[in-house]
Amino acid sequence: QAVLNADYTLTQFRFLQRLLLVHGRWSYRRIAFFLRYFLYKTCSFALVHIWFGFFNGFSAQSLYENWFIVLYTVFYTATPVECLAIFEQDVSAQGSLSCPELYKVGQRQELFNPWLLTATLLYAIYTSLVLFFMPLGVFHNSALDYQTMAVTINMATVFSVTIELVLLTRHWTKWNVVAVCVSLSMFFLCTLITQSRKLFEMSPVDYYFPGVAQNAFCSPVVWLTALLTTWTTVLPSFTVHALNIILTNPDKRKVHNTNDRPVELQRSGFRRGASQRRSSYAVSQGRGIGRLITSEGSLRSTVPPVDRGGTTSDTATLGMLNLRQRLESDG
Amino acid sequence: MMASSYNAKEDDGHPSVATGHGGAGTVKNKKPDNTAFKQQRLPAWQPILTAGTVLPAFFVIGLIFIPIGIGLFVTSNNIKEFEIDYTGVDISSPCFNCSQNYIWNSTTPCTCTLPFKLEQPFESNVFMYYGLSNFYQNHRRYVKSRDDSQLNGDQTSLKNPSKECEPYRTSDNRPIAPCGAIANSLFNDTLELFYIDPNGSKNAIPLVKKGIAWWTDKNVKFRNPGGNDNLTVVFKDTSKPVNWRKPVYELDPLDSGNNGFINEDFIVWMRTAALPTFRKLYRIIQKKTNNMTPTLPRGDYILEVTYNYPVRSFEGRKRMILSTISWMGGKNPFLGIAYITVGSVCFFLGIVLLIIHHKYGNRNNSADIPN
Repeated sequence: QAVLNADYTLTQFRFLQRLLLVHGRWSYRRIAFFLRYFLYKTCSFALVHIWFGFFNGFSAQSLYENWFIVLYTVFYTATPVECLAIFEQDVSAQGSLSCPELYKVGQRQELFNPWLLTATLLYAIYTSLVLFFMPLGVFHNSALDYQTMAVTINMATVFSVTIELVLLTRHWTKWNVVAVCVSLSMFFLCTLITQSRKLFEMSPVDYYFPGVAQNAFCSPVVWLTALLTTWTTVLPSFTVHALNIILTNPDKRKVHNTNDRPVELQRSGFRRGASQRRSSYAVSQGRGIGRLITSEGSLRSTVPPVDRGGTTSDTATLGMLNLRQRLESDG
Repeated sequence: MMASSYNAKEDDGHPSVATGHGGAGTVKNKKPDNTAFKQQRLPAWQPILTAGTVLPAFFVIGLIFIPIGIGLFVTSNNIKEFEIDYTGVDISSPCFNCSQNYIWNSTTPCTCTLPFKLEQPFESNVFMYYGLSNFYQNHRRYVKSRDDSQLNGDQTSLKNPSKECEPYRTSDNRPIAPCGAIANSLFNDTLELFYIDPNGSKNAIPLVKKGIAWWTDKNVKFRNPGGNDNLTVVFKDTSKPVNWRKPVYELDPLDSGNNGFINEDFIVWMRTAALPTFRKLYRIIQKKTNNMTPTLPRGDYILEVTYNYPVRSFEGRKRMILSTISWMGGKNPFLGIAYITVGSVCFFLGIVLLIIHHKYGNRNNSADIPN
């Protein structure tokens, strides 16, 4: 029953090492990056409308075609970030096991805290400002029309968020590469399709941008504007990454790439001879558990030393009883 | 690997649940497969970024952008442009009387004449635009106020326009063709150019009115219902837009390929602008057949305006613009300057990071691994 209610169930204590140090760490990193990137890409593409409001009498006119809004989140930007969330590893499995102190990044909330979220939101606001005002400067008092401006900003947005993702991804599997390439080509393909004459003739109300993509994708001004806007939005992120690389201790980076033998958990007083443990110990997620399990004080004092081949099941039960007592006393 | 050497010792009948991977398997064995994908062992490229790889990127981008910017700026400067505002705001302007005494249904059109001077000759094809300011063609209610089915020649929409066109949908109990506020506000000033010879004679400059709209607009998006002939019959039971002087089938009665919905001035107007200050192509002045004389030589010119379009009520402004074009369209110094600026910022950042790298990066080489 405890197994069915728990989020994670382990049958042996030694699995905890891999679960925490490898998968837990990777999972924290992936989820943190995923959430921050999602916030960034959605806000930067949506906040453009606030700035456009100043120039259209605050009439809530959308700067994008409806199809772009629909397909942006689904086709143009979803698969690369999903690949990031599935495959991203900053350090290999062996490296994670050999440097357990890397786990502290999660405990100290270094990758996902209110400050970082605020920074991401501010960066999204900056991106939306650039995404709007650079094309504004180009299209002001020009003969180019609203629909061409929409396609220009579409292109710039998709390029910007894709490049931001490329900067974030450190572990490039073939799926990551495929996802990025497919998403970009989906943008061009879907834009050409939804703005084609056939679909317009079938339903003029739904496909109301006929011929725009053909005109815009052949226009050098549109491409130049999109490229300039993309690079300007990505510049701060690129600078921050470069600063990180320059200022980080190069030795620290070497840690990520070595394959030392895994650290034995015996050092923290946890014996490894417990392979004959009978009962499964369900660790449900509670607040005080992590502190208890990883603090050496509790392990040393409550778990008596184990003899090889001794009655390990009794000691296991004793250990559980003691831990439960500690939990109840802590409240 | 730990997972592969684990013996599933079941206890109390509870199955052991492996975590982290998708534990999809048979009922007997819930271990995830030992494939590269499920064990997260996929071959991957992990770029080791050092200062040596990242810093040159800044310089390279800077060195790419700055020449592009210079090229764009020089191209833009070589484009010749001339702009003249003919709203008639000042009392000294020739069009002042026209702008003041405007009545919608006036049968005698008001004309005004503006002399101007071109300092430089304009070579090759010259494009004549009309420009409007403070005219919000991008207001949401305005942008929605059209019926693309009707403009595409659909007969049902001709008799029964879309609800989006309200309040410009019906008039005198008949449907309006073309309906909507965008069509209703069609720009209807007439601009004519004359060149004053050195010996004082006034020559009309031929203005071409075809080829100003997009090909896809003219041939796909806009179609006359029932073909291009007998438009008077086709539009029989419809009425003209409220603020038009002539109905849509009289926009260009001499040319059936430019009459009705496919009139190019109408198409150009219906392609709404992005910002409140915009320009739209009005006419093209084609280059002379012998390449010796410029299309518009230096000298005095006269612009004759048939002032039909009222803009004073909303503080709008009207202008006429003459411009040559290049591969990048009209004159656009912003793009060139923006490229140069971003390229320089990038280059400057590269230098700053290089300095930081030299001062602080080398100090860390001998430090220990931090805890």
